[in-house]
Amino acid sequence: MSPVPLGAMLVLSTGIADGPPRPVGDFGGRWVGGSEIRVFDASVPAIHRIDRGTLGTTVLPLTGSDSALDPYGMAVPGDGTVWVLGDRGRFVYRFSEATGERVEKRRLPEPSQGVLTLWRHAGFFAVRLRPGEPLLLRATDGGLRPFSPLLSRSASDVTELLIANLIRCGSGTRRALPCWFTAGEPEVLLLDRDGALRRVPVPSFVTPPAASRPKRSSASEFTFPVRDAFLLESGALWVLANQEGDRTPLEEGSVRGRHAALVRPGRSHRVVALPSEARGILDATEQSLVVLLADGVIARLDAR
Amino acid sequence: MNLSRLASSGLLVSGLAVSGLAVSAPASGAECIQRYAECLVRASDLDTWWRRSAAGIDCYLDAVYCLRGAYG
Repeated sequence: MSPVPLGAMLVLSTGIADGPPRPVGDFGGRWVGGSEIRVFDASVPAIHRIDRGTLGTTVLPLTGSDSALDPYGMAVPGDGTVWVLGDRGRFVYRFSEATGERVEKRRLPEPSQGVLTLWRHAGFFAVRLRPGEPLLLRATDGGLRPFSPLLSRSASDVTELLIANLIRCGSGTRRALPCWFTAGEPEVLLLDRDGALRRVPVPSFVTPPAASRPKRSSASEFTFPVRDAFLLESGALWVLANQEGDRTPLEEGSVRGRHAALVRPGRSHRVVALPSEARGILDATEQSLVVLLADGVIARLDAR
Repeated sequence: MNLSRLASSGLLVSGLAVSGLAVSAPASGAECIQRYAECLVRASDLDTWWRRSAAGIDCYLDAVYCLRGAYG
């Protein structure tokens, strides 16, 4: 597969906020629906509301939190509120979609590493200290219940256990949601509305480290192939690469987020080179991508 | 919705956390694991099992935060 260079194909870009572009270290996730993309910035904290057509942006400050909000994703389950996590995943906050004011704060029964929209429910990825425990929980009937057979993975020590069970989800459709383990095989897990999982192999830009290169840390035993995923109603899946080459994202000289691949059932992959490092895919069709670049700029790219 | 009614006893996260053990996320993720190890060493010096456990969970959650930022 030969990548299509996109450097000359950037057709529109804009700052993420009302002011100049800002660092993306606090990019906390996004939600896409109707004519709007919402990006959670945990540092303000605020929701950036982006028109899918023009990429024009307005900012909705989130007010009333009394602890730091975590860039661990956001859930918009249709109850009029946006759910985000706070205090290292110990609490869930709900903010009004209309005003940004805090509606509720609750201590979670167990700390979470992520919050996501499971269609009409909020979902949580639990922090796990042991293998073989449910990773994905769903808020329903006044509590949290395991959702899907997804279990925490085993590892040789507690540090590796921590890394091996970092998990994220991207943007889904009415039928399925793409999720992936941050450290692991180049594959996406498609989660359906009943909780069933289907593994989809995806292109990887990781190369094995040279045998002569010294091991830098236990993290260098892992590879980190996927940074984001965006599923289209057609069943096609855009995947943003994370690690590229032999250096993990923790290591000096690492390269990441420079390619996106369109994975289509029964058809060959299409790979495109991005003009600079990307953090996330904010919107997509089979012909174009809206990406959040690492410098804070949102860009619409022609990906034909 | 009452999330707390399903509170699990499997994880100990209590108000006994020692704030001095909190680890802030570094600008680069290269120090996440090193800081986690140092945090655990400090936690192990605490005088009671309850305080060590709470501090150990804090170390773990801080390391999750740091690594999510570094890898994501």
